[in-house]
Amino acid sequence: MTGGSPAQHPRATAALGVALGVAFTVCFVTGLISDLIQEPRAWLTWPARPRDLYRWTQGAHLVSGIVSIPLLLAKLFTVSRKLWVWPPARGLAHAVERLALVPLVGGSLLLLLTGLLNVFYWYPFPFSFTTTHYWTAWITVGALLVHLGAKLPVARAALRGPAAAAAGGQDVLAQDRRRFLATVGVAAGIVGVSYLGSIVSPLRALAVLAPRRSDAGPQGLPVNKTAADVKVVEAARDPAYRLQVIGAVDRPLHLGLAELRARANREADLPIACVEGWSVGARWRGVPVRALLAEAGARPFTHVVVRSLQRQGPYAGSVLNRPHAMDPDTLLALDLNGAPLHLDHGFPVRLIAPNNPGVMQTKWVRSLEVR
Amino acid sequence: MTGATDGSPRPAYGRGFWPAAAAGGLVMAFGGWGLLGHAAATMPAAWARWLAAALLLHDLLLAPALLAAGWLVGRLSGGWRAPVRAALVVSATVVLVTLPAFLGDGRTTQPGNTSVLPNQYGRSLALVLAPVWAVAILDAARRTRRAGSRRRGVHRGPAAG
Repeated sequence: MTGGSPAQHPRATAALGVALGVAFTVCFVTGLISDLIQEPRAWLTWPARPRDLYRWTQGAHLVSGIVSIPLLLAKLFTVSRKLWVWPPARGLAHAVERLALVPLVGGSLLLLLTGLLNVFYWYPFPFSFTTTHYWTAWITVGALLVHLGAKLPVARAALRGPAAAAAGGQDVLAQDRRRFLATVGVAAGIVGVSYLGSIVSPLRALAVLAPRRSDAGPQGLPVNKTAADVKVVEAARDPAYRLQVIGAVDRPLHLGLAELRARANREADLPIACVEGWSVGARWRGVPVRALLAEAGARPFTHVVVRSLQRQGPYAGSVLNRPHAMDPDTLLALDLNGAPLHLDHGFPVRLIAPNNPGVMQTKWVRSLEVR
Repeated sequence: MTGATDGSPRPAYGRGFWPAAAAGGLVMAFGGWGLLGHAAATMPAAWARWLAAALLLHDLLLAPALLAAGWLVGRLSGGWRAPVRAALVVSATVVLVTLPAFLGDGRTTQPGNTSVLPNQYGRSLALVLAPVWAVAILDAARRTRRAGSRRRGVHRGPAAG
């Protein structure tokens, strides 16, 4: 290699490749998990326990994604001179490997960019975020497999081989390279820890760079959509409000606020864990869904459809599978941290269940339909 | 193994390459099938434009800018080079991931929702970057002084390092 920065050395590329490989794997697996829960498959019943599982998988998705941004840019920097090699391909394998870089690098950039824009609620792109992010991830991971097939032996040699031992010596270039890697590590660490601050409550003060703080919102809890935004203010405050328990039940229930309040006898410490990664624990008080199902005389069921006063949009309802519906801590909550639920948190009642994505903790609940 | 030296004339491929390429091709095909199968949501033509734009922006703008910045830092006097380079890498990262807060319209999507972008991001940048640059400047001053004393032939004990 002639000239170039000491950072542009296969050893630096390989070290960043390993870090990026770990981050991308965590991000892909946790992303798939989130998709599986929200688009249930017949072969998977997402359990209600452990309580905080989704909180950690989705937090890992957010943090591994954000630290991938400096890691990816640094890795591309270490190989930027190779983009212009001539001839562009030496043989079929080389051509395949290089062609796969288009979906690999393009897909990676697009995933990290759209993910970042999404958590900042900025949608300059015309396609739907979730669906496109999901399929782009498959394309990128496919290209990553091709890339690994070509580069795994190269990276292993760069990190372990005899040439690497010589290159890893005490010379100034090796020192510069280590300093470059350490700097990228510090940069990734700063953004990673700041985002961790929107997940781990004791680190809350560090969330200065993140688009969410776990304490910013009414009653010290973030709100994703306000009541005014989804136009439920009037319906939620209507004195004629009745919660309906219907479907495969012997005695359909129509309960007003006072009747619900009389049944609100259970407290549970449960987190709100958003698909966008932020999460926070809270103490909820409400009516156990299980008790309502028993009171209504629910017949054997597979799931419960929860519908909101919010009629439009993807979050106008959710599905509780059997383990979630039967968990004693799954509540229709009326109180949050000792005070009546704020309108933006779902007054008169909201669903709160353990190990459940935030978008499925339906607010302003109007009915439970047993199926 | 020629992998440790760049620019080897013939890239060597292990036995695992073609099986990995085949598996990767299948996964990519699955992703492409899904993308095209959900065209109403994914808008494949717009998607392709965004993918190309991301590649071009990186390869023609961001990467050359990084190389140019690296070259400029290389022209600084010895003691300043490493600390300034490190501080620039951290600053660029932090600014880049915060940019959507300044350029985007996230806050206006839900007026009245105090949970959306609750930080003052200009202040956040100052808060994070001020200590980074303070450390860099202190480190540069230390390096410059040490280089100066070395030139004057002053020997210092290891404890002073």
